[in-house]
Amino acid sequence: MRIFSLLISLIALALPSTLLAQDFRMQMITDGLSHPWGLAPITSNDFLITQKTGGIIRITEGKKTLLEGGPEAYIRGQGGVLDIALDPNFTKNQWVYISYSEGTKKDNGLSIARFTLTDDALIEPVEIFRQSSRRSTPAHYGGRIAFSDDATLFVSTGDAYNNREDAQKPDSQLGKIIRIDTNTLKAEIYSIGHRNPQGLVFDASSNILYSHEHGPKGGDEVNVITKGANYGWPLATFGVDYSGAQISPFTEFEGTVQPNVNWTPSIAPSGMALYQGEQFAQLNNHLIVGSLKFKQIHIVDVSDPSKTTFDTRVLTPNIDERVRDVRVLDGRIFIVTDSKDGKLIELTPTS
Amino acid sequence: MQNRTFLTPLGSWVAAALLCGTLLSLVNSISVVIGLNSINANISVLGAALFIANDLPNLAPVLAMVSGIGFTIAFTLANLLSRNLIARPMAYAACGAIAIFTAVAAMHPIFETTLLPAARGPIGFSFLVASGACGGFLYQHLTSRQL
Repeated sequence: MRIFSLLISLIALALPSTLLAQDFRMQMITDGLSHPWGLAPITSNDFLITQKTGGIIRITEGKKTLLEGGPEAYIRGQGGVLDIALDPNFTKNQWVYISYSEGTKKDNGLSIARFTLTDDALIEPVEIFRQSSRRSTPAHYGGRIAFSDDATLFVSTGDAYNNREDAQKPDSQLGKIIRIDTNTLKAEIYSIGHRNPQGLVFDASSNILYSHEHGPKGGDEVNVITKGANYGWPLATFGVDYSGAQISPFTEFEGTVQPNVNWTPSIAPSGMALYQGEQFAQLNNHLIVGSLKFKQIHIVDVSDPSKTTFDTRVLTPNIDERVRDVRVLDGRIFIVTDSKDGKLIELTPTS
Repeated sequence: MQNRTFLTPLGSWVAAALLCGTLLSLVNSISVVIGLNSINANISVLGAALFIANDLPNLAPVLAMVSGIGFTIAFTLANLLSRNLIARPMAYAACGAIAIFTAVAAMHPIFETTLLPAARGPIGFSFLVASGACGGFLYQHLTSRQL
């Protein structure tokens, strides 16, 4: 009995340094979104949300407006209107970047367009990027976008599912992270060997680009992205095909980078934000990652980015919604959930 | 006196499905190895053999089940065709091939991707269909000896 009491005391002492599920409350801001995919908070009361099925929604003070304009997307399978990012100088220029799939059933790919936001419309579209490697499948587009500085935009691209070997081909834009100069519109391949990366974050304080990607059955990954590196897909993977067949005999391969996190079984990660703020101080220098499969939020400790393996844990055990995107603004955490009745939710502290 | 074999029609159907599932698994694994070597994986012959062998227990049973379902319809049709129209070995081999062609082709509109890597190119696809023909041929061979 004395040992049990001592154990309880030790756990109680450990609690203040670790956030638990009961420390959070899910506060719904709005619902009725059609398969929301990307989220861009302008302020903590003003949000832009892409819907994969088409259309960009602006939510101001809880009021929803379907914006006029926006990209003409090829909507099928995993394709549609995907991610959204504000220009680093948004307050001056009102520019918004949107990634989306475009084309036809036999010839489609990922594109990025820039728009100017007015109160209720997206106007003056400018094509920033159009994937040169085309495909005939509506799957594995990647599609996450993230700025590193005023004019450098990173975009993740998927392997199109059927073209996995192309992820290793340096002349293909499938299965890559691509760096785009938004002034000159020059696009260059930054890293290769990706399957379907759906999380991309640049940490300006350390100049590190983080990405996560879907493995097949097993082998979801978090990687620190460096220029010119090869992240292995499909030469090396911890996953197997959905049929149970092997994809590669290798879990590591010379010349490729091992993941900092290997989620096996897969969590189906989507969306990612780096937490820096005061509201949840314990989360500082953690990546916050949504899980489509387990309907959870996971965190990844990147306080020491030089570590070869990052610690991970589940932040919220089950929120009954597929988490599609996560964003942090001024220390506040916002998520969108992916369904016919998708929601914008803020995680708030219970006390 | 009848020249009976040890296999009933049901047993022959199971044998045909197992053969086809095994061949489909082999073709798929070989296709994956070729794909990996095309991006400099440098898998040796021994490595490829181990890779193929490792896939068999996971992949062949699933593909044998798919083949078996396809063969149920295909062999019924082959039985009808072989009565008057086409030579029996040809009818069963052709219907076995059509069964696998249909099964593999049907995966595409359902999943909007090609689940079996071997089916992503014409050569691999042809070998998959040929596996179906082998299954059909085996079935007719085993059942014809029972007549």
